[in-house]
Amino acid sequence: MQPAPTQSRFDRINRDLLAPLFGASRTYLALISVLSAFVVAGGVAWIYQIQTGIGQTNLNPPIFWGVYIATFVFWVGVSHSGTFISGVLRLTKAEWRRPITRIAELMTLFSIIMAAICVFVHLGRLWRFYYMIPYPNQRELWPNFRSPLMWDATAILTYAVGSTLFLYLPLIPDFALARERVQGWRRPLYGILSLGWRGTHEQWHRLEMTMRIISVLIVMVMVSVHSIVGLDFAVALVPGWHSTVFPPLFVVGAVHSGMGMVVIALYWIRKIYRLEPYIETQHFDKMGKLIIVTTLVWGYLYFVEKLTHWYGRVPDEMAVMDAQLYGQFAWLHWAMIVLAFVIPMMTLSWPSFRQWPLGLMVVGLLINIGMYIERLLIIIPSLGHPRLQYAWGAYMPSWIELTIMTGTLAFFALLYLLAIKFVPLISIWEEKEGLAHVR
Amino acid sequence: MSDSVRSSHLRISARFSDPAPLEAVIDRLRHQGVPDGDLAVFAHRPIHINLPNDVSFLVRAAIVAGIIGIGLGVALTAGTALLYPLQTGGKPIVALSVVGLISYETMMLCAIVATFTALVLSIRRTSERLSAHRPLNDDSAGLAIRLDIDDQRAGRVRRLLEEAGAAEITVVRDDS
Repeated sequence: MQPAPTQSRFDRINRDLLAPLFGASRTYLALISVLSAFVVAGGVAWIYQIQTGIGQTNLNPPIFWGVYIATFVFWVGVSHSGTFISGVLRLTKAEWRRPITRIAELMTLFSIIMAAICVFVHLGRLWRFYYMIPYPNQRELWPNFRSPLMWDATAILTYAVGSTLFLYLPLIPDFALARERVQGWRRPLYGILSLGWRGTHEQWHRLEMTMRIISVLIVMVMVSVHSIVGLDFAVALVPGWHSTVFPPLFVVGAVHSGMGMVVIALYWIRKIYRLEPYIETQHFDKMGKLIIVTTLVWGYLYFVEKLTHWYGRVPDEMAVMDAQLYGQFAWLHWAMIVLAFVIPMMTLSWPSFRQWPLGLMVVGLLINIGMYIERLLIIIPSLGHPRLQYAWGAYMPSWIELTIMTGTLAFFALLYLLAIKFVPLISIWEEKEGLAHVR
Repeated sequence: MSDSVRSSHLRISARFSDPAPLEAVIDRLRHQGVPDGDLAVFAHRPIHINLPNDVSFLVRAAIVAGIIGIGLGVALTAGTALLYPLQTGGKPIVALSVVGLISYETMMLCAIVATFTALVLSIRRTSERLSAHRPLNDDSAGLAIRLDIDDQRAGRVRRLLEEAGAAEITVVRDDS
């Protein structure tokens, strides 16, 4: 029998994984400042849009959904990273998940916040959001539950609450550890957040059982959420949207971009906080293998969707497809295929490439650019080619739209950077548990 | 025995830098007549010890809340038909598929929130039992024992813990 993991190894885990909470380098502060500037710019643009009206956007008939909805779909997609990695890998008891889950779960929470912001931005008169909440009123108004947008509101609410609790659950023991090890203002805060956790055998068993139950539930919610986002399009009789493949295509596409985003975060967190002993090349290798799977499944579903429309040769559908494959959107379409499918397949199929963190990070970035383009290509060509040709239109986002959407990207990164100073990025107790399993 | 005496106990804490002997210590404490309910192992990492613990209430909470969630979803969507009765060509205003979709989401929402709430309540309840024991600030494992006031028995338990290699043993009288 090998010797038990020594206290010094546990001490090292505590020291290494609590270290990012303290201190802030100049680079960190500079990054915070730059991101804050983008967030403020986005906020000002949004206020301007509220003040002067949604006419500040270039959303005009027939294109009434633009970058706001494309970005909403993109962020909902990114949010699938945490649920998929954490939920599915937890359920399958994959040991290698340990250093990745928290990083992915944080991503889920922040991206779902960004998705919600996009919805409110798109609402225009956002103070009327309460129209979506059912409440008895004199006007006898009641939300129209037949609208897919109400399905969205319900699903996103469920997903946001579930993801927050799913992130919080495994944080409780880490907050309790931090409570005993930090001083100053953080101590009482961690005391409250740890909910009085003492780590008794009963508490551990119950935490594990709760995480098992919620893992199952959150994975089911994950599938439903992006299916519903896919149904937003699929249940409409708009050419290019009315496809039964859309819900699974959206789910797989979401996991695809989410995995890419997790690889990006893994690379930078590992590099900046010198977490190489925890986030090893084998983690990139395994993420690379998963991305190959999502690339193949996404590519297959995308091909099936296009093939079905192409084989039907319905003129209205073909107008959209022609615009995508050979027309004004062709360069975007083929760029998307190369970024989201060809490059991941050509690079990640090589085992040696998967061992190269920088390479994987770049592939993750390209996948996300590709998947963002895919969202744009779902929305704009279809809305721009309604059934009556005289109504065809074009769309280019206004600077207001671009500023607000850049602001959400900056806000996402800003929240993540701030969270690094508050939440251990790698689950400390799970790392220790993993050490005991290795024993 | 008066009530006040009956509610007085000794709270013994022992800290083990290596949790390996804990299983044997617990077996010996059982032989000495200490019931499982008066024993607790605590640490900053999961230590799997053969002590009874009930987790079935979490499953029950999830199932019951899930059923309530279905009811909530049906009430919301069907409530639309009752409170806002538009005539739509003789068709029901809410389709069954929509009722299913919304009910699915509300079922999940209620089940997740209820399971989490049940866990939080149980954390608070179990932590209260350890309120007399000092929290650990390192990666050792703690053993908390509750004993009736009996000096001889307390002495035997203390010796047992020392023999098992406990790094630190504290005994406090709990009159609460």
